[in-house]
Amino acid sequence: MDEDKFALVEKVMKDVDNVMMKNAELCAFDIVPVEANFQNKSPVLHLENCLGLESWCVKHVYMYCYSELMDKYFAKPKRKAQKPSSVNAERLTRLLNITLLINPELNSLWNKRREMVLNCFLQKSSELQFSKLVLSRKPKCNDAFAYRRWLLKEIFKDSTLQSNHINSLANDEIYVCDLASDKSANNYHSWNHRIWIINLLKKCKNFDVQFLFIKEYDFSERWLAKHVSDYSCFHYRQFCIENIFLVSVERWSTFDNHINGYNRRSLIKTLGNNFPKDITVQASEADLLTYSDESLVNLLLSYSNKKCNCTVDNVLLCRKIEVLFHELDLNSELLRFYKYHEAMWYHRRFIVHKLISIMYDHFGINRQNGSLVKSSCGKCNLDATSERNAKIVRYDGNRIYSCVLFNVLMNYEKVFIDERRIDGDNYADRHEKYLRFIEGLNNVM
Amino acid sequence: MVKVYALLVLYKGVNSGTVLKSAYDLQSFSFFQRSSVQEFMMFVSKTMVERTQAASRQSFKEGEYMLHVYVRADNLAGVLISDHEYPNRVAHTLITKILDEFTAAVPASNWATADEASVDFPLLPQYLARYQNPKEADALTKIQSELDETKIILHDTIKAVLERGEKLDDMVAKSESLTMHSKLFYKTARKTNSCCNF
Repeated sequence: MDEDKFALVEKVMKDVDNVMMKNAELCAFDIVPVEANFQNKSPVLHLENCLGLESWCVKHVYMYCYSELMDKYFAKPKRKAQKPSSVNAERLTRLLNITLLINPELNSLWNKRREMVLNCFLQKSSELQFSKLVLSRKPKCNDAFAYRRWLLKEIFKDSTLQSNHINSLANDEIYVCDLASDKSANNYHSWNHRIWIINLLKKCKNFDVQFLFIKEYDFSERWLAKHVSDYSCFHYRQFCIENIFLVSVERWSTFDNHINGYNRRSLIKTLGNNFPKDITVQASEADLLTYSDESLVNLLLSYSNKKCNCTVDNVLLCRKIEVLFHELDLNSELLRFYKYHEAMWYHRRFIVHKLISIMYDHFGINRQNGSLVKSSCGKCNLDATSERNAKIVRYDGNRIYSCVLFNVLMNYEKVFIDERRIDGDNYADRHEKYLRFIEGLNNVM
Repeated sequence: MVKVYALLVLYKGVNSGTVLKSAYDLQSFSFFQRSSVQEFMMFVSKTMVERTQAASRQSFKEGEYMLHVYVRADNLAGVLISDHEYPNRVAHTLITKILDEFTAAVPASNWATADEASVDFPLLPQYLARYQNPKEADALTKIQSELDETKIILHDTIKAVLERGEKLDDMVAKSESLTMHSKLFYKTARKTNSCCNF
């Protein structure tokens, strides 16, 4: 009986190996529930680039392969264990393949693969393919993602890497993340991996990372419209927004032309709707559209009371405000449509916090322990240390609370909170509390 | 995730429901599971239509799925299977819309005797594709108009409409419309779902 089983397992291993060798396009692996072997057929299924294993044989196959691995290759003490060599490489690969496909959460086995890659018994490119196959069944498997990161680090050590090769690696990686995020909601590991790959590409000389920033910014917007409570993706979106601020002026204007200056127009519209009534702002919406970045920032934030002579990049500042207000609009729209989703409200906190920090920054103010203090200029450290922690006089605080941008933001939030509250959304109250007590706006709201 | 998995039009006969037309989007399921999932969705839809009174709407939450059922007074029924983030209002408006168009396309006299092969209603897959993003589709077709007066009854689980002592597991085991493969798939899915997941 046992001998029958061994023969069966050997056959299964051979079949799986054959499929993997022959079909380079293999894209998915799964275990198919079948109670017993009714027909005398191989339990290895191969259909439309998908590899399947019938469930009745999984137990036998796994036990057999796992114990052989442990007995021969992970034996203790270590000197007794076989090292990967040209003699056993093929056998070892087969065992590792099938065991990891069935149970990918075994770090020792992944480490054995790493050892084999370093000794050139395994190809890096085929290893990327294999880990993708593992992820098709277990999209939240961190060991597989970690292995990919290790592989990519090894690949990127080669400084002669051609730019088209980097491009295809980047595309593949992003594609794998897409699949994993789609398969499993709130997939922390896949979004984290995506952030990792982009951070890796930032350091790469032969790669146009700014284009990727814009692409990912656009992608995350579309993704979030359909995955409204994917909090991991909201975190990724925040990463994308920070990246967008790093894009050069020329690059951004191309994108801006592409979306037809949409962001600017919607910002102006929001401004028009929320201008504080007591301050008579002369400009109408049509006028505002003709404003340059410079004068728009001057209108919104008035003058700064920084003492140093560092120049402020008003073009970038204007872009930040545009992008964040666009985000705020987007968030309001989704909240109106889908209602009562906590993740979206938390994202809103991020946006508001970002906008307020921009203002603090502009006025050279810091918030420490709930009170406003003067901060030194980040660029030149001009401010004398004696002045640094001095509490600011009320007048300086009022300056930020009376600037147009701040009032527009507060009005926008107030109107939105009231609207949501009427609709019965309890998170609206919580958002208001957040603004009052965490952002410390209790006195001005 | 906001997703519609299936749209079905059924006829609620005296004893049982028959499927007149159906469309599925099962890309997110593993290749080997798709046929079982499809069979299952059909089975559950039929069962739920049988347990919904004429001229009423119900929505069931079951695991990560939502099942929206509307049976009209003339026994024509529509089912939409989505995840639980799909807005209820849009789901029910869409069902109403589809049933209206179905009535226009297929004469009522055929409903009782027709089956999936004989009904010609190519609009269903189009709707399924378009309503994957309800926000865009809603803006496009302007179905903002309020839903008719029929109240939607919301159930937290399918169990709510089962009779006393009746269990979904037993119904699955007894069912003749499900293949062995699908029954086994159901059992395994039950088992895997019961373990904790992060």
